[in-house]
Amino acid sequence: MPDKVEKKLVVVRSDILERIQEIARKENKTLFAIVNEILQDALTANESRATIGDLARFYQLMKVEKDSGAFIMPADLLLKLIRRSHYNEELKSEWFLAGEWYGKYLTAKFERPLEVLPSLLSTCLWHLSEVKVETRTEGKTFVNIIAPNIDQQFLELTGKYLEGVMNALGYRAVKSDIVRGVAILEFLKKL
Amino acid sequence: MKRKFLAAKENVADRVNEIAKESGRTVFSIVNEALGAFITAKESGRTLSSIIEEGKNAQIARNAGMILVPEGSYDSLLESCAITPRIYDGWKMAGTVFGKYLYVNEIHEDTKGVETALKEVIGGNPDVTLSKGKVVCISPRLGVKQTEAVAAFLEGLLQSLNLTVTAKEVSKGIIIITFKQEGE
Repeated sequence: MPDKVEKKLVVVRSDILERIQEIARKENKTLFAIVNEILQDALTANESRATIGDLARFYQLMKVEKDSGAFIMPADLLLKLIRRSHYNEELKSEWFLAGEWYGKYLTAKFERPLEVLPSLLSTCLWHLSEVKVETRTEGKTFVNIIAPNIDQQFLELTGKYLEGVMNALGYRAVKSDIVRGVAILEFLKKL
Repeated sequence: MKRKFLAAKENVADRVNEIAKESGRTVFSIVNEALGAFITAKESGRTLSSIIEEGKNAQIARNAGMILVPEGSYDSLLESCAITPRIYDGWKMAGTVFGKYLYVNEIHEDTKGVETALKEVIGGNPDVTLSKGKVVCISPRLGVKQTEAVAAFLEGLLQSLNLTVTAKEVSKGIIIITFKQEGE
């Protein structure tokens, strides 16, 4: 006879429980087994000092980025490339176009892309310490960036990229104030 | 909001209870969050543990000084500057650093773990296979220069794991590297 497993009761939302019961049925598993697997995963996530909800959100946002063609590369190498590049209007325009494409991608993927944009930017633009997207009255939207550890050119290119994103979302840039690790971008809804 | 009771293993429930106390949250919110994340994972055809693993790999990449770059932006930079072998040295060095991070995180001896980590950091949704003495990476979306960069990255990673590269074949979107243990 196997040892008797000691059990304890925990409280859950009934709608969530119903979904889990459905999955358990489909997978031919007991509810007890599936719940323990999930909670064990939650404990594993906690070991890396993250909540399982944070990790699931992070995964979803990263998936959006990767599906859009973004890839991971060494930051110092990107900086070297920027320093070696012919830093000119053409390059800025390329970053604007890349942003514009990404904005269109978000428009195609989400019903309200501007609502998901802050989470995407703060989760996926790893070189930025802080990103804030704020929509005010009269169709004005501000994107404020704090990134003390990146150089001016990279921040300017990031600014151009965001201008491209916002342009695709129906906003034109009316102000771009970028100075030593801080960028304040102001946009106005296009008529 | 209706609530129901659910049975869990006592030791697991106790640990969840401890975490709730440590983090100032309720057991109710932690359990709902975990079950909700499980449902989200299922809906996107994934398992919860694979999502946790990917999240961990992305954290490793971020801590190793990597950055997420829009594909078009990188291509425009490559075109606007002279590519020198030093650029590829940089990629190789990045691979070495990433390999060390895998070592520190005890992933280096787990073939599947290394494959998953590489899929996470190499662009273009690649198919990566690591077998005894050989690593194959196929990603048709990678351009020629990007493929060469990834090949240099893989070479650095293998070297950092004390593996000696014996041959390397690189063509657009395809990398085949053979290697042996140092001293073999």
